[in-house]
Amino acid sequence: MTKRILPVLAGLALVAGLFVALSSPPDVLQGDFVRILYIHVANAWLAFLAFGVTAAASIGWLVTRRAGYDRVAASSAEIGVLFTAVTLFTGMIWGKPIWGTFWDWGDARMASTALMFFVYLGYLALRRATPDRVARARRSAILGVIAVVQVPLVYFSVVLWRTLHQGLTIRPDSVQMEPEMLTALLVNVGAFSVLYLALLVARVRLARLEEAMEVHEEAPAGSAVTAPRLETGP
Amino acid sequence: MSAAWIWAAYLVTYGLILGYVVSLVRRARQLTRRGS
Repeated sequence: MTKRILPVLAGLALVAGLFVALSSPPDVLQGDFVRILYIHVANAWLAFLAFGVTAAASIGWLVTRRAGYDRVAASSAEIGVLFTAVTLFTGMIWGKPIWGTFWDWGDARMASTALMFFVYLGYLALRRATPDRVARARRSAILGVIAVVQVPLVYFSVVLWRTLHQGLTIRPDSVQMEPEMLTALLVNVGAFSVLYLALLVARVRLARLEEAMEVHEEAPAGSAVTAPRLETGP
Repeated sequence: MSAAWIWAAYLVTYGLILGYVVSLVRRARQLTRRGS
């Protein structure tokens, strides 16, 4: 059931997000460029969530050793890398007209996000480089738990180091946004959340299929072949 | 000029996501074919 409903819901939610983002009012200072931020911020938050899920599922695997946790951890990390790539690209495209530069290594938020992106690429590479299933799950679970410390570091980097990136716009005590803009942002956060869920379900299903094929290919030669029945004489 | 930047951002976003979805579908089909 979820196989079809979730992708359709994700598609509809993304169309709604696109509509709200493009029809919201322009910002006083940024003008229309604020529309890029609705997808940039939504993808950044979803990347944080994805890496958080990876860490939680990694702890789940370390405690229970159930393969399902490993599949969720790996799948969520892959989607998190996708969302981080979108965050980096949209941030660069927004930065050029607003800040006059695509990239600044001196900026704490940009540098820490890039580092997080490469660490999780390393997580995916580690999985590919480890053929044994148990060793792969153990190594990546440990990395998944350690790597998640970057999430609060990236989030609070704008508070810890005052560099080019602006500070926190949405805080528990105050929201420095117009209601229409906040709605556009939240609709996009909701849309990308549904997309995350749809991608996670699809990726976990694919991981199960990959594991089944791995088991099939690991089986010793001839194990699937049954011995021929010898004809007995009349 | 601003429209070009905005469309570039949206194209990159949806392009990357679509590319990922296509890769998942292709891999699933490939595995299903190999398994059958």
